[in-house]
Amino acid sequence: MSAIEVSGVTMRFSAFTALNNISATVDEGEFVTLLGPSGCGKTTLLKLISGFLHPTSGTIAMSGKDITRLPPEARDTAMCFQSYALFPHLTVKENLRFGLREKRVPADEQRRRLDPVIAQLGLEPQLDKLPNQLSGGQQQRVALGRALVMQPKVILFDEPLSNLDAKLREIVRVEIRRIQQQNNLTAIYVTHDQAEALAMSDRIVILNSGKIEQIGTPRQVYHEPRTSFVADFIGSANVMDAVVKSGEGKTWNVDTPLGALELHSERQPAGRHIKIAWRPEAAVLNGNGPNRVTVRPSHSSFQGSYTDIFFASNDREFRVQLREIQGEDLSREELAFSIPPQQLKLLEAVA
Amino acid sequence: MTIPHWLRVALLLLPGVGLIGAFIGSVVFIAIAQSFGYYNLTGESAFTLDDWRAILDRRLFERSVAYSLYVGLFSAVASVIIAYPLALWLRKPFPGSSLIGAVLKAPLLVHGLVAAFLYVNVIAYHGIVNQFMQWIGLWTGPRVLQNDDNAIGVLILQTWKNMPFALLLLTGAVQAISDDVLDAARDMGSGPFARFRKVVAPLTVSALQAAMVIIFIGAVADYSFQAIAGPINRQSMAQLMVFFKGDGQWNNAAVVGVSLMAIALIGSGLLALVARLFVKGASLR
Amino acid sequence: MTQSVVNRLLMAALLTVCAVWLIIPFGMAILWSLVDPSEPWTPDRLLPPVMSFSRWQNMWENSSLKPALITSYTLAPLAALLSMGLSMPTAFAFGRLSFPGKEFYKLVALMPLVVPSFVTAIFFTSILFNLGLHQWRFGAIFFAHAIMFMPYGIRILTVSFEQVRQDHIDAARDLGARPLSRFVVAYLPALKPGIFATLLIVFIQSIEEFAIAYIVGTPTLTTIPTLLFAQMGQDFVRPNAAVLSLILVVPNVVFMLLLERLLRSANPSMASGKG
Repeated sequence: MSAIEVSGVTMRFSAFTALNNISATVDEGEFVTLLGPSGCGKTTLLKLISGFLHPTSGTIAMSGKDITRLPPEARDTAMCFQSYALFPHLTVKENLRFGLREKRVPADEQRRRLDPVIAQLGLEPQLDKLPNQLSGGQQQRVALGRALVMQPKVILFDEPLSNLDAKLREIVRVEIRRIQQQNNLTAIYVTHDQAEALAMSDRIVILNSGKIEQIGTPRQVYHEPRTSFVADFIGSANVMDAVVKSGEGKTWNVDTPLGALELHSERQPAGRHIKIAWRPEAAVLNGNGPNRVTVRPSHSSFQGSYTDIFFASNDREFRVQLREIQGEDLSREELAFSIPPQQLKLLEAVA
Repeated sequence: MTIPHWLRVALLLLPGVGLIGAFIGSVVFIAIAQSFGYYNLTGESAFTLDDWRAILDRRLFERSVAYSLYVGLFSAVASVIIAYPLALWLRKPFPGSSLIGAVLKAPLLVHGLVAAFLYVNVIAYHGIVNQFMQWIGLWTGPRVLQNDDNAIGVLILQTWKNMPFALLLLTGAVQAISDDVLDAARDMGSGPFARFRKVVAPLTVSALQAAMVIIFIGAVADYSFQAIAGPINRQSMAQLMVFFKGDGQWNNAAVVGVSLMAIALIGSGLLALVARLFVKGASLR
Repeated sequence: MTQSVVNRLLMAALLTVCAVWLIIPFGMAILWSLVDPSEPWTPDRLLPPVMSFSRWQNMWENSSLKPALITSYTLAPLAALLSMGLSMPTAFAFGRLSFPGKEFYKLVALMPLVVPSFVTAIFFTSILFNLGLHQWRFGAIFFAHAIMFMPYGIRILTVSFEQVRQDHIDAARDLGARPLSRFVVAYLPALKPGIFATLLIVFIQSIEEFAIAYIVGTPTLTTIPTLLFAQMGQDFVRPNAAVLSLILVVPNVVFMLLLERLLRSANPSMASGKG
């Protein structure tokens, strides 16, 4: 029985469809990220799971029980809000205790739940302060602590790191993941930042305009993108049109703007005209192999740990990413590289 | 318990807006009804236009209407004419500007009746104004300044009381004009009067309208200033209305009351319109 | 002449005018209130010959001052509480719900400010007569005051309700809060300044209200304004009127300054002002 099961959920706001027939499951103890650009429906889905919205059609179940119409105060979920939503007139300690007092948890049980969370998050010195006396990172931790002491079946995160600066974001996301794993919590995390999603998740659900593009582990969605949207959204990719000329089993020959290429894949092409993608860092400098390409670069960008080299072919711009060792200078008039056949990924068919 | 949205809204609005509507609605209804002869407390209740005809014929009524309009218009215009330059002066803070602002707005804190008393006290037969004028030799003896025939006392009181309110509204509006806009006008050759006509007035016209409307309605319906400091041989409409009521002539009181409401509404509407047209005309010249 | 010199000249002129405008009238009122009945203040003297608080004492003990004070200061807090209570549901609807006709209802809420107060007073009395309730004066004034000043409460509380943060309400629900706890933890902190401001504004308006108190209350019920008005009529005893004026003004100034402070903390963009 999964912790959360979303079945055929559609959410319509008068003429606008935010989610279109979404189905997904989250297992117990799993950290699942809902990832996508603004407007893709990830926050809507989170609100449906937490109970602040009711779906137009479809069901949501928690551990087998249907919770579709249950209000938020009756669901065993706890949310970490983007704005933290700490009660401004209550101290940190009173904020943490709020949910426990509402559920009329006896005092000794309150202590038993509060103490380890306070210790885990290092909130001891802040207990008597008011929220406006805390820094952003500290407020974040209080918001997290407030949700944790509820010991919910599922803990929900609504872009909790977006108000923190870059350095702090990296630190806090490690903390959140650590706490989730230590307490074996089921977590559903919403973000538009793919770096967060890749670093923290057990699985990622990629949403685009109300539809699920792909669900998979971070490595799966990175190395085996199913659609050009996913290929482009996670990391960077060279996406191009291709025509399947011949092939069988796991080897295919395709015609592309870069010429004829050989492609290895576990999957079958979706049609004769398809899109394929390869990652810029997959290029092997001066490599030998079936997919050898020689081009005249248009410009390059030195980025420190790597260099982006851009070139055009058949009216398309491509990017190759190569590691540059100190002393070497990769900018040159002519660039020769090869793409390993298994690094060419099959994507969706072209209509 | 989920009740339909409209019902929820209706229940929420009832004790507030609902009660207001019922209260004011019934007051206005009774006024109109009584003016047409219904709800007659001292005689037969029947529809009649007699009371209207009778009142409109009386010179007393005409003079009262003219007088109230005079007071209302003067107060609104004078308050605004004095307030505008002050608002512009106080637009940008300078040392002492907040003190000046507070002093100018002080009359807002003083109750109207108290203001009337203070005024009456100051202009009393042996009051300080009389003494001062005699002291500097302008007058040979004390003069009766109270209850003068031109209602100068009422006008002074109305302006004293209302100018700060106009100042409040206009200051807010004037401060909302960005410096860039005024600088641009200067840069293109507008002097101070032209800037006022073409930039400040059009941009603050709604505050101007609001101030004039509220002051007009209050001044046209004034009772207390008139009763204390006003001319004895003139009556404001409110005074006339109270007089009729005290005399038991409810229907006549109703006619005056309904006229007062109509004049307040229509007058303020016209005033707002004229203000806007005037500002527009001035800006186009 | 530079702007700053002009400013200073204008300021000096204005301050002089205002001294004349405010200090002299109030000064005269204070002096008159201190005139001892033993020696009248004749025009040839700059100051009252004998000054004492005997007028004040006299008014307190012998006149209708005490009953008027009691009436005014009982009426005002009651009217404030009722007015606030009646305004809250409507302010909630205006501030947090959307429904057709909202702008229209907001205008209706302003009606008491548009109808001249004496018209309201006279015809409210007429209604009372027609219903046979004209003996119930205190109740009638109390009820009328509560309704007449609701526009202020509705306006202030609507802004307060708009400032309640949705994510606080959501967080409270998410943590399992029942409706009452939700109200206390998410709504009340934002409403508090508005509630105090409303109570204070209605209190002040009620203390000062003249038309209804005069028409409905006279002759049996007096409030401070009607008492003052009566004193300025037939038997004008100047010192008594001076005492009453000061009793009316001084608390009023204090309350209004308090209100200004409160309103600024409730809503920085809103300015107080009586028209």
